[in-house]
Amino acid sequence: MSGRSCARAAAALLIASMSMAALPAAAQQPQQAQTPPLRSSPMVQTPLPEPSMFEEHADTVFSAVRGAIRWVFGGLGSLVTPPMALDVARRARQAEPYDFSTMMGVAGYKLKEVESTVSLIPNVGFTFAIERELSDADREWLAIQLDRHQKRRSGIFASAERAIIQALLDAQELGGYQVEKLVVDAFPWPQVKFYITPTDTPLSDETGRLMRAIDRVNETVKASQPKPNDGSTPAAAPRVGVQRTSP
Amino acid sequence: MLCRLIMAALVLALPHMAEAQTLRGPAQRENIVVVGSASMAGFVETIFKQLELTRRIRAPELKMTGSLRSAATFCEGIGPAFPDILALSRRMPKALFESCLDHGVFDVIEIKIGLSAVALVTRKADMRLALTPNQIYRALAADVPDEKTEELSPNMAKSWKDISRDLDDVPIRFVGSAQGTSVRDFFDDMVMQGGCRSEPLVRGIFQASLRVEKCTKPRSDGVFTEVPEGQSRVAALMASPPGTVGILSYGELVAGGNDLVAVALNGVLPTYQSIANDEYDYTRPVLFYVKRAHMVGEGAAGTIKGLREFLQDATSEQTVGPGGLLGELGLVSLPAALRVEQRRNAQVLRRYEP
Repeated sequence: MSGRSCARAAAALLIASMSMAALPAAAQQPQQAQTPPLRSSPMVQTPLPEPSMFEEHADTVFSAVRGAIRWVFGGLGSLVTPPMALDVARRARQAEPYDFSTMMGVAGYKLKEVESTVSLIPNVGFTFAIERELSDADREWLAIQLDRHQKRRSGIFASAERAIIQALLDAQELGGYQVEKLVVDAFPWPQVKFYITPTDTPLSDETGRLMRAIDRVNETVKASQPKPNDGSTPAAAPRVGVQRTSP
Repeated sequence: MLCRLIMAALVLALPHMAEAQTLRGPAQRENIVVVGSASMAGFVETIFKQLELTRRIRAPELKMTGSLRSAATFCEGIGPAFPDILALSRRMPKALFESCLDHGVFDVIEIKIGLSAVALVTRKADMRLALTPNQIYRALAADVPDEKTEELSPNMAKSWKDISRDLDDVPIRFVGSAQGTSVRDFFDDMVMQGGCRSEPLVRGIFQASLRVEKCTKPRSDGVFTEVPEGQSRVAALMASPPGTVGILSYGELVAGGNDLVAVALNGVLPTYQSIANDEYDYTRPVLFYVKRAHMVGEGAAGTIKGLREFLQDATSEQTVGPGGLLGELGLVSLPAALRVEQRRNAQVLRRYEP
């Protein structure tokens, strides 16, 4: 067994044991309201194979996962330990100019969630959500960037990246519809899911209730404002409001 | 017998006549209708001024309503009710061309006449500047992100040193043309919007129109001097206090000769080589799309005079060659081989294929 393979197998065993130890502890903790943008489910439930088999399997699994993440974040393939969601998030901030996540940023989409499951059949998925409408200048810039991406990066993955971004751009240009969410599953089966919605969808029940509640607060604040005796105009009451940022 | 034959011929011809009438639309028109990106207006006007002088082609009707809307209008159909030429600063996307095909707009001729570039320029006697688009946005925008309040606040920067410690302590001053002119619109699109794209506060604005306004609205506290249309931007820059940065086209920089010095943007100076080699980021192609079916002699809807002449003139050496007519507007010529190819495309009316 080489030193590098040994380190990988040891790391994998360590993570597996840590996650298994953490599970009962987590179950005892009271549930807290969380808004986890990043999710990591390091669950190893399959019986562990023999050490030599395990080593071989872990090597394959982790190199596949690393490869999948490299597809999205460029330089992540050099990691020795298996990639965890937090690592991915950290690395995403240092993304290179022509990385998929950077290009998605130019296209108006932001990485919302990374889901990674490290197990015998690992899973890595990335969810991008629409962040903003593109202006004409943004579209022009994206077209230039795609052109440069084509000159600088070749291969099947690079072509797939460009095809995804071009599809997003086409969906926006047709008008009336937008890709609200994009889910890229890199492993085990590469697949891309586009969630297309009309741009002028009505407010959801929840958002509608929130808007009405805000209006009521505004009215209450306005009514509770003391009226000046000298007949001058009262100072503007502080207003509570939200800007509707996404349909 | 003869009468019956005439009647039969009329009956057979009627549907075709009706079809032709549908294609022609409610009324004929004499002048060419051009739609497209506002920043292309200068190039279109210059080509048509030349056409008017040399070939007596009427001045066109310009409807420069932005690239996306214009492309959609262009693709709506064939006939006098629809535009003849689309002027864009990027290739027509495949999705839009498919919408053209859906509406029966099959034969569209694409010609690329060159590259345009915006240049930031100072006088030769002034200090040398090397800036990034974000620094320019931070210096020129009316409202900029305030790290303390995490809101957009009025821009109070007075000196370049306020923008970055690495820059000289020189007052911030800009000279440029009004919004709606090609150079200014190009500057707003590429430099100002490019500069604010990395600002999280601005990125958080979902609505494109609102974000564009926040990115491109210049300061009104005297930092930015607007040169009225028709007046020379170079002359205004030369008459400005030391350290003033001029927003010019690459053509104006070249015409300014030794009196002007370019500001490096992201470490790259605008030169003929850097623009032609795609090293300088602030360039874009100038493209025209022309409907073949509208050209005289091209079927029922082919009634618009001057479209072939436009294609010929727009690709001629006198117009787009080095030192050509559009060079004064800052158009950078394509390499010789590409110019020849474009001229050939215009002659044979080569169909656009995305």
